[in-house]
Amino acid sequence: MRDSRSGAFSRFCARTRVLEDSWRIVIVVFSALLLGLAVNAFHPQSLPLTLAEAKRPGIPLRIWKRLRFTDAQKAFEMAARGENALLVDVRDRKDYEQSHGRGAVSLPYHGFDRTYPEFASRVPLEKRILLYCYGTKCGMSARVATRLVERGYANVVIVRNGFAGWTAAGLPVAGERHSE
Amino acid sequence: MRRTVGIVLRLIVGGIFLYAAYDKVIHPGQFAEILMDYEALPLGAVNLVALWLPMLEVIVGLALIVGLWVRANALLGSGLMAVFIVGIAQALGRGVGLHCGCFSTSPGGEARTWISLWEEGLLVGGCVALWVLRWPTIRSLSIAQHRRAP
Repeated sequence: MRDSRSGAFSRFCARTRVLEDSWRIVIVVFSALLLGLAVNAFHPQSLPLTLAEAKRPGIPLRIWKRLRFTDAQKAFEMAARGENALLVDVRDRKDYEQSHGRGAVSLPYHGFDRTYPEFASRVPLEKRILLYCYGTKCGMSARVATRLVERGYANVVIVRNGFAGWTAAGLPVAGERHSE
Repeated sequence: MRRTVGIVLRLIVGGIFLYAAYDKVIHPGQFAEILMDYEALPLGAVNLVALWLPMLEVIVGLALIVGLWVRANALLGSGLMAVFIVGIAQALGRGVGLHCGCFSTSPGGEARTWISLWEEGLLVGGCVALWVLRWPTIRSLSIAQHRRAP
């Protein structure tokens, strides 16, 4: 059985020359890495090779230091106690409409510039903003948080683990999916 | 005929790889943000991958266009696209709204759906076809047919 398998593999390798090509693939893969690093060294939007303290791409360190984090349970309690806090969903609008944390308003990252003026007209700058996105790493939340801080919102908090964490904690949700 | 099909396919697939790489090379920061939204990479690797992947597309695209190591690059290209498909599929499966990063880094694009995976699927098909066309048995068959023709 093993012989027939190794025979089939040998025939496959002989037919496709895949083993001969493997060193070429390795050369291309490493050349791409070297070229990427070389281009980055002279690129006007050069990226740091590691994410340093901010741990998120695209978030300036000065902003990152002003952001705070909380978990879903504490965010729910803050919003429920009415501590001048507003729960904000930064996921796509269609996902918000289907299901969102109860009491959350929508400010989607994709389409931020379209929706922000209405948000700004309703939400005062001193309000505590509790942002959540889809999942665990909060990249979208951090980017929306950056934009809000740059526009004058001083009290911006990111909800760790996003909507996935919210539902996992069994916190109340609303939306089309829960309307019946 | 097989040779003509191979050349046309090489130019199309290579051109698409170059087109796909262009915006990512110009805007590495936005591409890093998109990669992070896939939630499939360790945070420490995001920037490095954002610099490496577009260059891999550039080299594969150029190599296919000029005809250098076509079989190896077609295999690499199909593997690269397969990785993209798996990355997008795992995010869609978890309900994450992606706005791609395959051809553009603009955050204003349409959200990805399962149906939109046909774009990457087509590219995988093109790369696999190029790879198969370059198998030695297929080539020798093609040459033999060519010689037999009057």
